[in-house]
Amino acid sequence: MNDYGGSGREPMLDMFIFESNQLLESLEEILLHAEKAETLTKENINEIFRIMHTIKGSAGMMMFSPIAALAHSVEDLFFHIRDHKNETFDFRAICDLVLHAADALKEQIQLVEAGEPVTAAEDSLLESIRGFLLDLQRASGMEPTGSNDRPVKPKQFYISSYEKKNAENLQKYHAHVCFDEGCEMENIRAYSLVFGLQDHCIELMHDPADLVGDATSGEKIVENGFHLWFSSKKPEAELRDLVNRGLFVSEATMEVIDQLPSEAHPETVQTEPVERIVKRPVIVMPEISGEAEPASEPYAAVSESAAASEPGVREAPGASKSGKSNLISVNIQKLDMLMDLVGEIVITESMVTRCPELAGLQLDVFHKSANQLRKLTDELQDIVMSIRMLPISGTFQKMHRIVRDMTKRLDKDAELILVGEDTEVDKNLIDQLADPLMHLVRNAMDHGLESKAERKAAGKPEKGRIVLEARNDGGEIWIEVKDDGKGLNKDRILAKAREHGLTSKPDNELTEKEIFGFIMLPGFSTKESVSEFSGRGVGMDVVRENITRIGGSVYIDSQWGKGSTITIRIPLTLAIIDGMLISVGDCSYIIPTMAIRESLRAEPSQAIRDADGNELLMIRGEAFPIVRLHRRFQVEARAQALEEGIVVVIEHEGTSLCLFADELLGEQHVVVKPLPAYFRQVNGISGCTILGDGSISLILDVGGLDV
Amino acid sequence: MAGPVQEWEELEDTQKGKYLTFVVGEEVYGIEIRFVTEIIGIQPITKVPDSSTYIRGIINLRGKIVPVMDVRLKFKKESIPYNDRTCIVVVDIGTMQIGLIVDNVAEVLDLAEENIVPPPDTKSGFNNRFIMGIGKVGADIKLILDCQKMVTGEDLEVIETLV
Repeated sequence: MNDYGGSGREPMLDMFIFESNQLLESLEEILLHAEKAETLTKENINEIFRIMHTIKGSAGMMMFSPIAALAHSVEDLFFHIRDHKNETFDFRAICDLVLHAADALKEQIQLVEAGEPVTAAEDSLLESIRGFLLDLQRASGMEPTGSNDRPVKPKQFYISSYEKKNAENLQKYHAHVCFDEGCEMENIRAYSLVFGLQDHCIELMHDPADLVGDATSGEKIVENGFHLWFSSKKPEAELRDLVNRGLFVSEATMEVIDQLPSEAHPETVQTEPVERIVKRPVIVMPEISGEAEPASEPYAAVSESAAASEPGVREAPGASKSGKSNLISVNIQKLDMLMDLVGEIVITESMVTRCPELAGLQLDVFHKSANQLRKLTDELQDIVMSIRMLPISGTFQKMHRIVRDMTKRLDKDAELILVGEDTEVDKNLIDQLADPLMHLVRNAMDHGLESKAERKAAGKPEKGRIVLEARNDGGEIWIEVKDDGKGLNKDRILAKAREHGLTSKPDNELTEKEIFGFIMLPGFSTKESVSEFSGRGVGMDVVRENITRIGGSVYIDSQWGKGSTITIRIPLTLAIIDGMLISVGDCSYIIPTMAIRESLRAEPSQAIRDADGNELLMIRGEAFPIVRLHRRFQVEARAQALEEGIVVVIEHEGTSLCLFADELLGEQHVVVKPLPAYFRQVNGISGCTILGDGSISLILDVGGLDV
Repeated sequence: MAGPVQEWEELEDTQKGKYLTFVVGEEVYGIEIRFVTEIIGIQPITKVPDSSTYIRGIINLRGKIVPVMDVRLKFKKESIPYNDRTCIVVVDIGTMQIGLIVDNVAEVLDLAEENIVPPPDTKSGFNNRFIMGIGKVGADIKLILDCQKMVTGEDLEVIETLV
């Protein structure tokens, strides 16, 4: 794995981080969902319990005790809630508390990711969770368990119940159990085994005696194995089965013995001192022991969580454990390499099939095979691309949390509506989208939506509405953030722009698009007060910068009083684009097809010059600046006069211009490669590609060509 | 990225003291052979706008995009048309690959350390700063180039002054 550029972390640690993040995400989803529905269903509670349990378990295994402690406290809380289903809880408080805890856990996991030591969560958080649990316990008339350990009351098991009358049917056994090497937490595994057995036994003893309280018990089990002595009326085969079925049990032997070891018979214990063995007679449970089950269930639940997890959750972390799942997680770097390789193959294929040496030859079989090869490479390319595609829902779901937090703090009421969450986007793009989307949603909440009173006065429903929509449009993804708030104030934006000296054009010459475009310039913020969430004027320009970097563009549309819509357009993928090949002298360039509006052969009469001598082309009554590529890139061109060459009209972020080139060579798919690092930033060039004949063509950066 | 460097270090024993010499104009230059990955004939070059004049553009080296530098222009000599003796020496300095366009490649030379003297202190010639030492083979003089400095040096200086 390291050969292919792994992250350098241990695979175990990687897995832990990945899993925990996934779990926390689904936890957040459940809570937000529950909060909206204003109820915690039984499944929700069980799911949260499982999540916390899994995190606690794996954190414990990875020796991140602060994480384990925090998860444990939440687990305890839900353990109580689950056992007292009929009581009503202040579930809003619970949601707050658990979200808070989830945040703290996330922070800790980030620390782990950064390779820093994990710090304990704030005491106050732990305290408040414990306090909350205590309150609940008191409310349900229970003795609060002082230590807040797993609320198992060990006392129960010491109530002796030697039922002599049954003694004659009793068979006594001794079992010696070994666990899988490296299964970790042997004491916990043993504990669950004891739990599983106790319902079926009259008496039960084990060594080591204290499994949970004594931290060294795990090591002892590794050394000596786990010894159980018990008496039962159940058939031997059934008991044998119970022991063997325990999680991670690698080897178990069971034998019938005459007598259980007791203080009087130290010899049966052999190496261990007598006092370490605790007699543990079990309460005789009623035949249907439904009440005892929840206690042992959490351990079983680890393996069951996959089956129980919601079908909608992709890459359910538990799934990898069950072995039933069809999903695997792959290092993204491997996919990148695969993508590169496929790009090479696509290029090589056209080099082979269009080899000039083959020209004029009669090659029927060759062409047949070549066609076959082309089909296969196309298919390969499609599949590799689809592997990298993920639904955008993960990023969208995170916005729920932002909206929720902000509604609480800003005292606004808003609902977030997601449309087209299952739109698939390249993995790399998804990562880049998270930040800009967060900014936009925050902006919509903070600047867009009015306060409740204002909304009422304007005759709008008190509850604001933010729509987050993604859709696939040709080779692009469109993402819209729409709010029904107050909209953008053109006059204020314009005043502010003048104040900052951003424009010198007279008012009547500025289009709406241009005015709204100002808010994406660095340092522009119309919000007078800086709030916790926005207002520092770094929002929109960061959004635009991030989107431009991934080859996309941002459009703003707004209606005063009605709301605003911000549209992000990004390419489906960065790796392969559709391009128009044009030639200028000996050089060829690629113009991304999505930027092209039209191409035409211009008449000399269409060209005009403005006062500064810049060339303009009149097309259907509109004037566009002409950029002569040969001058821009200092190459020899064949066509000098306008009518000799071709004019390609391109559009970027609302502005159009005409590119003048020698001729159009045709449209094709090209694999985008970055320019060598040596060149750093070249204005007007976004990368390069290798054409079928092995020559290199530069890809034009439409945004960087303005005069 | 660290891979090739480590390999060189392991290979250094066999490569130590070996220099690839090439001709640019009247002079014979040498570079340490550990930097050289291959020597190819002149290739079609794609011009990249807004770059230094001595950077001729980029070539396609079996699917890899490699920038090429004309050593003549780098040393402020007259440019001459490329012919079939013109070679591109592809060097890998660890952080990047770059092709050096030279008039022609001469030979691989063994040069013992005692035969290399440091360049004269008087910085008379402008290209002195790329010269690491002067190798003597009998009566001939070979100018040993500092490959890293030549590839990255000037650009870095330009950038520093810009900043």
